[in-house]
Amino acid sequence: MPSVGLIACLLLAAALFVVGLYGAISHDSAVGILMSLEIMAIAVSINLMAFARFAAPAEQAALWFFAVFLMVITAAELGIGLALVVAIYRRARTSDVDDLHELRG
Amino acid sequence: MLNLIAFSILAFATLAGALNCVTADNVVHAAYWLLACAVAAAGLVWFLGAEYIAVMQLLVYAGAVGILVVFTVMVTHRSYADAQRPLKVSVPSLAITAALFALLSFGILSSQQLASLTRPTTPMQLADFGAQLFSPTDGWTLAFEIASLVLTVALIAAVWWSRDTDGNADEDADEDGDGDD
Repeated sequence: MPSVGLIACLLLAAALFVVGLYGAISHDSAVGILMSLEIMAIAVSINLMAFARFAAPAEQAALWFFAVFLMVITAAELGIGLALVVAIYRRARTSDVDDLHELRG
Repeated sequence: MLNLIAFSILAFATLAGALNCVTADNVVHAAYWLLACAVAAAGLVWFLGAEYIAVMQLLVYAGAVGILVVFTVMVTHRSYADAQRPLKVSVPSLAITAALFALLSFGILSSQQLASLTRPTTPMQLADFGAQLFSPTDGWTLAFEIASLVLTVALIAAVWWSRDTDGNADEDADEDGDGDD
C-alpha cells in the first residue's frame, strides 16, 4: 500500500492556506473574510498535525498543544469578529468592508 | 500510515470545499462549503493519527464556527440579494497568492531536512498528551489557563459587542432579539 509522506501534507496545507489568503484579501463581505481566515487556520492545523506524525514522540506534545491553542485562538477570533460584524451592521446597515470608509482621509 | 487513496479523497474534499467556499456567490453556500472543508480536514487529521484533535476540530471548526457564521449571516444579510456576493477576481491578489504558493512549495520541496523525515513515528496517545500538558515540571499548565481565560474574555466581549446597546435602535431591532450569538 503506497503511503503519503510529509511533503504531500505540507503541500496540501500550503495550497489550502493560499486559497484562504486569496479569499481574505479579495472578498468584500466581512463574513466572507472571516470564513477565509478560518480556512487559513485549518491549513495551519493540518500542517501542525502532519509534523506531529513525523516528529519524535517527545516533541509531539508541543505540536498537539499548538493545535489546541490554535483552535482556541481561532474560536476567539471568529467569535469577536462575527460579533463585530453584527455591531457594525447595526450601526452602518452594511457588512461590506468597502463601504466602511468613514475614517478615510 | 496515511494511505494514498484515503489521503487523495480527503485532500480533494478539503481543497474543493475551500475553493468553493472562497468562490461561492452566495454567503450561505460559502458557509456550507466551509463546513465540508472543515469536516474533510478533520478527517485528514484523524488519519494523521491525532483522533482527539480531529474530534475537537469537528466540534470547534465545523460545529461551533459553522453555527456562528450561519447565525451572523442570518442577522446581517436579511434579503436574498444581500447574500449574493460574487467574488471579484482581482489580478494583484491572484498574483500575490500565486507567488506565495510558489515560494512555499519551493521551500517545502527543496528542504533537505523535510525530505529526511520519511518515517512516521508512533502517534501520541491522549493520556500521554494529558500527562505532558499538566506535568508540573515542563507542562503547559499556565498556557492552558491563559488560553481558557482568552476564550472566556473573547466570549464575553462577543456578547458585549453584539448586544443592543442604544435603546433607540431602529424599527427592526426587535427582530434581532438579544443579538448575542
